[in-house]
Amino acid sequence: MLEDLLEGQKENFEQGVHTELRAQINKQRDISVRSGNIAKNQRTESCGVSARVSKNGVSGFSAMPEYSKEAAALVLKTATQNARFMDNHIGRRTGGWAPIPTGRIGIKKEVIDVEQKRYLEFAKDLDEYIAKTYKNIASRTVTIREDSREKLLYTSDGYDAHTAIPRTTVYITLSAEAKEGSYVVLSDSNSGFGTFQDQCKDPKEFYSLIDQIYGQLMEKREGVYAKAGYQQVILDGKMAGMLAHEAVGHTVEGDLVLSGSVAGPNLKKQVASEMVNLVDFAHTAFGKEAPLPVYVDEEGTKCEDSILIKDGVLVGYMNNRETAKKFGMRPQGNARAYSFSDEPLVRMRNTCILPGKDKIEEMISSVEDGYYLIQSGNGEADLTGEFMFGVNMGYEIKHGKLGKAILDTTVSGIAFNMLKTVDMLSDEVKWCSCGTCGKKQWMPVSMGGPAMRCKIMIGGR
Amino acid sequence: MEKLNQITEQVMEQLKKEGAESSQCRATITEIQEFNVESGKFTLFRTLYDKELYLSMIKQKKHGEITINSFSDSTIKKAIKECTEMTEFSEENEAWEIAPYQGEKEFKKGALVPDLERFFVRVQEFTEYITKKYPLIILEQVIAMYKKSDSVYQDSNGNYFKEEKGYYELDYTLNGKSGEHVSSIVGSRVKFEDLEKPIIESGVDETLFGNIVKSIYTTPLEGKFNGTMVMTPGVLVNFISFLRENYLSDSVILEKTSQWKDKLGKKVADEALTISLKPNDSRIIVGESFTSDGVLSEDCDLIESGILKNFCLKKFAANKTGNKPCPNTSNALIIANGKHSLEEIIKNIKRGIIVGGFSGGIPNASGEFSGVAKNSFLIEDGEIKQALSETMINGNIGKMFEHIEGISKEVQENGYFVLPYIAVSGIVVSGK
Repeated sequence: MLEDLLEGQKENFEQGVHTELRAQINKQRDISVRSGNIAKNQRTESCGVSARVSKNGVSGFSAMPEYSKEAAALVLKTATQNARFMDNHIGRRTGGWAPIPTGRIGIKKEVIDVEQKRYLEFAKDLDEYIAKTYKNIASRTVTIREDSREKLLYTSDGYDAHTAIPRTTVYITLSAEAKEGSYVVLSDSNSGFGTFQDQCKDPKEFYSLIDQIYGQLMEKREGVYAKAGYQQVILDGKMAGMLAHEAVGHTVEGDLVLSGSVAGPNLKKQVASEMVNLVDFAHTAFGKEAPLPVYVDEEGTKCEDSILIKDGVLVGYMNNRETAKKFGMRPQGNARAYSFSDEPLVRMRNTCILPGKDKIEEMISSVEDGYYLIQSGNGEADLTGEFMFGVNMGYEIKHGKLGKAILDTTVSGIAFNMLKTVDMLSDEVKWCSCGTCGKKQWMPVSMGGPAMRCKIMIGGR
Repeated sequence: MEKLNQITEQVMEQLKKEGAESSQCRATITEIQEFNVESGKFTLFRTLYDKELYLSMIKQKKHGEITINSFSDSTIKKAIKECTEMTEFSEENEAWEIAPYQGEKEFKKGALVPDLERFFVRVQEFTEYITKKYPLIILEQVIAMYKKSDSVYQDSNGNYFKEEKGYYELDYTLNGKSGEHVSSIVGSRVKFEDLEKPIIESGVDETLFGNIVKSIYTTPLEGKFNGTMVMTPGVLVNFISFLRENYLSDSVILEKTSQWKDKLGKKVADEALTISLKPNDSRIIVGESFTSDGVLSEDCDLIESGILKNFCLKKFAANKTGNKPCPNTSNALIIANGKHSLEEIIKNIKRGIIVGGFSGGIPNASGEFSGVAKNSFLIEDGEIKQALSETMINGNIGKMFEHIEGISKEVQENGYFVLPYIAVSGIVVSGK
């Protein structure tokens, strides 16, 4: 746990400007076993201290990979000098930010390190289960990763905090030979808030995930290409989560709204069917701790949920204090930084489409000719609202029944058009919390949603 | 540098005491000075100091490695202990090996002392130039960075490399906007060693800006067709990255899922295509000096006149599969240009698409890809027509380079790569 060396530095904060002083340690433990051999066996740590000083719409930032009182004093001094450099050269004179509540939040979750050997033993057990149970696969990879970020934050005019967000993910990837010497690959994961000790208690708990991947892989071997074009689909929960993140989430990040995203002219307008509600949860969702809970952001804003779409109407953006001031909104804790050397940017947290009342079986049987799309690998968004995500697992639906599996494809659309076609939502939310969002810096995020019936563009032959 | 020397010496000695039969250590100090522009306005000046210490050991054919960002004695001691433990419980594998002896080398590359005031002025000049000449373009983000790093590498085979390098780079994303209409966001970057010229003259592809403005007003494609795709240099670099990942990388060769695994020395692409990785080429700014395996980087061809010459393997994967490692692990991509201008190539296209950006899923193991064509234009009967939206492209990353319809004589040189435009046939282009 980080020792508090920063508290005394507050007296060195310059008056009349916003200052953040942050110590942070990021750790990552990785083990990867590929077809019985150790392919990766790595531990990484990055620890340091940084400061950001903001005045008149510009900021100075400095960071050092050393955690000491001297390093803290030096980054504070450099950040203040850099802010002055910018203010002198730019001279924007926009004034300060609106005041926010102050207080302190203490650490709720400690990151307990365990020997790398235990990761290996766990991964080997899963690898041996696959090797023993499924002999007709071409390759198998088991990866276990624990990544964590612990931060200690002091701010001039917001919350101070000491928090930690550990996350552990078990990835399984299987491949099998398919037609004409080609191969099909399928991956899936279990991921959640907590350390390796919290999430990986007994390897047997992961056997059903392996069985599920294998079953789907065998179907994918016989898979067909999706028919390219505009199709009716059922997106399963994790896919809906990807949609919430890519298609909507990025367009309503305050900094991208300022760059001209399609969300700008659509505030307070109908952008989705009335059954669609979308929230970026801070730390609690549906009465339980959210997959990756954030209590205080890196600007010292105490986090609360950001309601983005309500009954199909775009009602809000995600902001930092600067963009919140520009839009006349309240910052809700979306200013996040990945490592000690990163400045806070507007980022998502736990972005989710809220559930409806329908049952998945009824939803599938309602589709005459379409697809049931289950799993995505990656996605991207655009200011125009055009989104894309890869689909790694899915099925045809013919006359209300699941047909053949489909080979890898991509779906796309214009978010605010596509969301208007949503006419069924299931009553169960699925979360994916192994995601990492890229936007100048990486950021662990989670995304979730119910199954949804909608129309979307599918790539294919 | 002396401090880095001492640290690596100290680490190597301690690794030897822990019984390492082979070991490596690399210590690096980095300084970054960075200006950020958001939505066309300067917002941030960032100063970063970073340290990295990488160490690895091989003991009884077992391997472990660790990376930390502190040089304190206690942290180094802890890292060595952890690395030793990791090594001891890992598995034996004959394939683990470090680089053979190559001697001592010193590298000094690029701008070793920054001129921040002048850099700020150059960045300001760049943003003002874009704003004035292209008033419909918004500079969504500009990250203007000066980066300096000092590194010392040592290994137990007696290799000793010292590297000091510094460069400037500009990474920018932009979009067009007119009223409520907005274009796709497009990114590009340039790298340079000095501030003698304005940044706009340092390898920036200005045709990108013109195309972004034309893409503010788009027409969705209707129907679908099988045609020719012209890849701009900015998109070509992404497709080559897919190609490397799908056919040439460690994982696909180790797992034997690469469709090119048995094709070394054989034809895999059109004979017009030569793809090279050349970190020592003068057009590549501050290229890679040595690989993570400790091998001095040499220029090489991945594909020469359509024949596969090298996989992109590191030592472990190469040893494990009986192949040779790639002579470098850089991204210093150079593709030989062709004889015809882009205009001549387009004149010969009956129906196709120019793709300025690609947003798509990672190709599957068979090389099939699909995704959204961004900043793209329809080609019909040899002419460029409207800017497109809601248009997807589908193809096979391996097969498409077998059917090259043209490689332009124009190239973009941006300090990272030297790439032409390439036209390939057999691409399914689909709309609503």
